[in-house]
Amino acid sequence: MRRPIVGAVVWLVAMSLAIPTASARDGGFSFSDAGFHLLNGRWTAISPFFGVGPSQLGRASEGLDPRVVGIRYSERKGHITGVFFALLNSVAGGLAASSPKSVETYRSGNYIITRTTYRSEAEKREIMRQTEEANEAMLEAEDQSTDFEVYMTSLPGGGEVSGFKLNMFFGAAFNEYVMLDIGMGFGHAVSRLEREGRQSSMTLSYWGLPVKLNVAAGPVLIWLQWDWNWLGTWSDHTPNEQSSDTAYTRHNTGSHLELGLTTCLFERLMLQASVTTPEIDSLEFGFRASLGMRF
Amino acid sequence: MKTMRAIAAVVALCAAVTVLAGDREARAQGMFGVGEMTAGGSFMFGDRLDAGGFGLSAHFEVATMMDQTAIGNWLGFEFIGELGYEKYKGDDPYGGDWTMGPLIFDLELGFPFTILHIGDGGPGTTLVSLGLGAGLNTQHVFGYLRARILVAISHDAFIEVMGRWTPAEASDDGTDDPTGLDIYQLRVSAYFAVSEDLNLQVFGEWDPADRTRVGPEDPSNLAKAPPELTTDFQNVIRFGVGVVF
Repeated sequence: MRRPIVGAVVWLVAMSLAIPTASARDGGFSFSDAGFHLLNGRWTAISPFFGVGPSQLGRASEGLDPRVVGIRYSERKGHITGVFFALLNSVAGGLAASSPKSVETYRSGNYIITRTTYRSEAEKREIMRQTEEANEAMLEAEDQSTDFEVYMTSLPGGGEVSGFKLNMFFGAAFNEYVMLDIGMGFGHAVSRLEREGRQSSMTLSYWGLPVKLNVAAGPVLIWLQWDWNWLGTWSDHTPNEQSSDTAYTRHNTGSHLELGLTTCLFERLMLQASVTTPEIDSLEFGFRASLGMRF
Repeated sequence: MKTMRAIAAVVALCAAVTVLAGDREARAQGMFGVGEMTAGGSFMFGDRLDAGGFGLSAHFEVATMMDQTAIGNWLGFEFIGELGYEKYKGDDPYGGDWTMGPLIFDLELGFPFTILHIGDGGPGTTLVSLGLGAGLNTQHVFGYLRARILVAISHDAFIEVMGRWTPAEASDDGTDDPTGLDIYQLRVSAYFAVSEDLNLQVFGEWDPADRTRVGPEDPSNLAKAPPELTTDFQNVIRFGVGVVF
């Protein structure tokens, strides 16, 4: 089964190199400006990726770091982030407009009195108007991006993780070359591996705030991303760790720090390499790489 | 094995369309070519959990491409809403109250992007897209990958082949046992102009699905994934018609 997949990927890459894209024909792309193009252009990409070493998916201090193999869907200046947040905003706006303005309970003599103050029709309309304005702003935001990773054990490469991770960002541009992306992300993944006779099963739960600083520098886009996992920081989520000489289980809720470089060749072929660590002070780093097609 | 086959098919499709993507002059805006929305009804029949049944439903679908990428492809969104009645005999051993009917309720939201344009909008123009999305219905909540191939066979008639795949890992039927349904949906639609003001969609659809349950983890072998049990869930045929706007 692996041979047709490898053949198809090789075919895909070869054809992508042979076919000029619209903007390349118009002189709109050059490798020396690939970083700028990646930061400011509208694109989507599908990228198989591979990773080894410490990450939030494993437990570096126990020497249990899974191999990660998967497929990433990325888009810049797309619609997923805007639509997702607009949906959330619509639900929140609708609940706010239909909820009471205030509810107060007090004792008066032998009675407990609850006084509920409802919003006027004008106040409801104002909330809905503001909700609609915010929705339009989110849907029309140009600088939004999405990264959706699927981790698989059935792909070539010996992946030891199955699950997914979704990060959605809105961007704040400092100038044409520097942009800070900030948003929301969530994910769930299970890694199963055996190292030196010790079997391990670890589950990652992620819900938090991803922050990504992008800097376009000539042919590359340099980026630093921190997936701040709120489940591990603000909640009482215990690791639920069970350890012995032969077995190890853990519920991971750690964050994720990644420093990477992205570039593209012939406009269609996207290459990415990065180092990752679940804890910056551990000084233990993993490595990830991907090769993808842009559309 | 099914997962491997599906991935291989997707990769092969990407490779094939890349080969064909020589002409990037086509700038079709609407996924449907003749419009961007369709509303209508459908009739379905077949078996679910080895018991026969049928259904009737009304649907509303939007699929539109709005923004062009730097490379010359298009990004858009799709929305599908469906409401109807269905009745299948028998019971669901996993206790899903809505599995066998009577309500059909389906919402889907996705984000397609084109990977191929051939032609200039006239006969022979071909548009291929992939899209990720999520949805919910009375059986489960799910994520999906959808592919569409639209071909203009004349100036006002189009054929569209649409496939949707939901892996069991991306499906949750709300019962205690993970996971849910493997969906393999295949639809062939014809879009054509009846008059100057009326465009119609006629479609036939095949909706086979498997159900996958994941067993308990083996504490003596943590490195091995728990066993999965896959059974036939349904095999349904559907025919429908809609007005295109």
